[in-house]
Amino acid sequence: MMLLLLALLQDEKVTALVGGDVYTVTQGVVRGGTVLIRGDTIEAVGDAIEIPEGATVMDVKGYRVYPGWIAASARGIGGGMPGSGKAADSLDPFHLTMELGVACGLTSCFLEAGSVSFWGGRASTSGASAVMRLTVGDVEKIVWHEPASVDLTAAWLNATPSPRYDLLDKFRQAKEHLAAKKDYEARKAAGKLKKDEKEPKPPGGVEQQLQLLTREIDARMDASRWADIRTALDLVERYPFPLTLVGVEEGWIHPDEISRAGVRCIVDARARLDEDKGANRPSGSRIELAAILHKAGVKVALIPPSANISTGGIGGRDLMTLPLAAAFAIRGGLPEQAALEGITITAAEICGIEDRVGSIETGKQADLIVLDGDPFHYLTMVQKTFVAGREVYDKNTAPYFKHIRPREIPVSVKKP
Amino acid sequence: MMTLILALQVTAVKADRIITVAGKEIENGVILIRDGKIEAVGEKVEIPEGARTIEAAVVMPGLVNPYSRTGLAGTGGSADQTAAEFLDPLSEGFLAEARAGYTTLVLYPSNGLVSGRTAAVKTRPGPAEAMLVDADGALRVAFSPSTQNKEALKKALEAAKGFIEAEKKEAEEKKKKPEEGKKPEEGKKPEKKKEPTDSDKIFMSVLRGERKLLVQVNNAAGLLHFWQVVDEFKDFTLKTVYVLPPDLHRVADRLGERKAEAIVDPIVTLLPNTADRICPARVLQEAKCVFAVQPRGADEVLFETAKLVKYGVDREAALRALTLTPATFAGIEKRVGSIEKGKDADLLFLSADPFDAGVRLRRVMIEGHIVYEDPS
Repeated sequence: MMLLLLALLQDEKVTALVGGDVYTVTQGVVRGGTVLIRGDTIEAVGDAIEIPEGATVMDVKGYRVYPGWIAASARGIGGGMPGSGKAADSLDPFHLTMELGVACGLTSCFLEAGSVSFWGGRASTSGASAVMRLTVGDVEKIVWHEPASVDLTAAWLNATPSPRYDLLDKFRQAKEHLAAKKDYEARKAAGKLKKDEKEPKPPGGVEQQLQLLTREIDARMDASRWADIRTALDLVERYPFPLTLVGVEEGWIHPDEISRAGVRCIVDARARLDEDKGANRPSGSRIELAAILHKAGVKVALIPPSANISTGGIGGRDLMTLPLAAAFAIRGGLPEQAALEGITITAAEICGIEDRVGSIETGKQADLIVLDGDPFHYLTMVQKTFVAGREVYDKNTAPYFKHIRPREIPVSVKKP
Repeated sequence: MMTLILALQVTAVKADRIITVAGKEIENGVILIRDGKIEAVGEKVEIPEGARTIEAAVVMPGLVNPYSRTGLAGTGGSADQTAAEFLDPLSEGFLAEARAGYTTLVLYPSNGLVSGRTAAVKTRPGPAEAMLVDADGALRVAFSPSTQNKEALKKALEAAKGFIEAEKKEAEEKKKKPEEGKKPEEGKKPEKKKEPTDSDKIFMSVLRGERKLLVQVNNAAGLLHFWQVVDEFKDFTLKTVYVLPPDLHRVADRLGERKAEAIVDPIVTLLPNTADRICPARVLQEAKCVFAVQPRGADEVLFETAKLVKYGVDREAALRALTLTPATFAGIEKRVGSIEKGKDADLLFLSADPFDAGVRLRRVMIEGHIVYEDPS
């Protein structure tokens, strides 16, 4: 009786995905394994998991279970970043892009500002940003955190010399302040403070630089040509802060320099950048880019040519087919595991949510997808999507793809 | 002198059927009208000698439009404004509304997040004072989700909350020590008390549940964001009437949990991305919500509402959605919305059942006066 009461009080739905091949991303593959979901959390993963009484059991034998896809750069999802104010106050959890997103396995993304055209468009950094969950029908947890990062493209890469020096000066002031603060605290701990000595005050106008140098927030820059990439590396080598480069088309030229600077990259394997015929050096884009960067030790997240969810244009180029973006990187020589990481755990790391999602691990948030095949195969469809333990998509009931090769996943309730 | 005699005259409406909305329908009944009010209604009502008699096939109460801007010559934009300020009694729109069967309109000020208070008017043109039923109605909010709107609404409610709590505290202190409370401590100037502005007072009445919020949202997501703001004031008795978009089915269960009062378009539409038909009014009925209907084009309101009945809305609920429910939403149900003793004689004379496809509106009566007669 007490147990029953306790179970009722807990009031958390328990779902077990049973018999599928579980691709954990970080801990290998469990063939014919079980993923147990309680509430919004993954309670257990393995091949000998006891299923509690009353749990909803989904027989996914013959299917594969993956963590939900994460896009390191996206636009327009949930109606997109608002022109002003916070995304958490305006995102639409019923937006078509939310429903189509989860229908294609997308569960979290880095939302960039900017409008999306019918034809989509290249992913690029553009000011305000938020890391969002695709919590269809729910606004409470629709945003992981915002602002998601600082966009330094305009302030550093595309700036004329004078504002560039201003930015350098701000970094210098911030660095000096941090050094002075450290020195003060060390002397305070040793009891060697001068009489009436006060804690150094941070200089005005450098809040962002302080946040960057203390690694509270990430920065992004949109760089294609090597000259731009090199300029971005110059800043981060002088003042180390967490930086992600978007585009990086000519990054294959000196991948070691990017690796040494500890900079992460967001890459579109299908990007086209013409050779610079006037330059007396290698230039242009290569499909091997992701593979070369990965080999050099750079963390690479993968994105498609269109950063949005589009029902127009050419199919297979937007976030509805994020795994195909990874497949093209594999075509260029990237190992399959690294490609998978590029749309899961590495993308999560770039978004700053890798401790909560991006892999199937006990204690992580239950963002899971059930696929009917290899994610990098063009025929593979998402059968079910869970966000924070809640089933937000079922291919057989949602109107979008139910007519394509329908298959049933048997569902039952665990009896004693 | 002449008008006085006419006004005092008694009118008897003899009808084959009276749809009272308040209770059972009456066959072969009589409605007795004196001074513009319903004096009696029933099967066995004695008609006094000399009474003017009107015969009709079907009589029902005049319709109440719960959300209209007809005859408003201005917009508003703050809580202390009311639609009554912008009323243009000479507007031709009122006659058009009357021709469609509307005898009462609930007018809302537009413009801005908090646009002002509603006013209820009769559609019989005349001096503004004579038309007004209520000049101090619900507070209308047009909510689209943004940080700016959420913060502005929250700020207004928080200010009102502060004043209510200060009032309570003051009342308690006065109770405790009636003498000490009056004397300020020596050497200390008494703190200047912050007085609530007119807008603050309006929001205070909202928090006390004395005044409803009339909230328009553009989509279901707007509701979720709106609830995020007002749910922080759960200690208070906020009463809300929602003006809802067709995609309300996405939040039907949540509207049901809140026992929402809602105004919807009387439409049958398609579920997004499907060929499945959906009727927002029926969704509300199934969620056990109370609903009124507000059509975009007023001309065919009876026909539009009949369509709802075809798609599963309960006939009685559909009739109420046109009359008593919107009157109750606006707090004017003691005067209009049904055919009952003591209420205004606002009546529609119909050739057949109101939901009959071939029904004609023969006459419209407002407070005993015929304001429209079918020329055909």
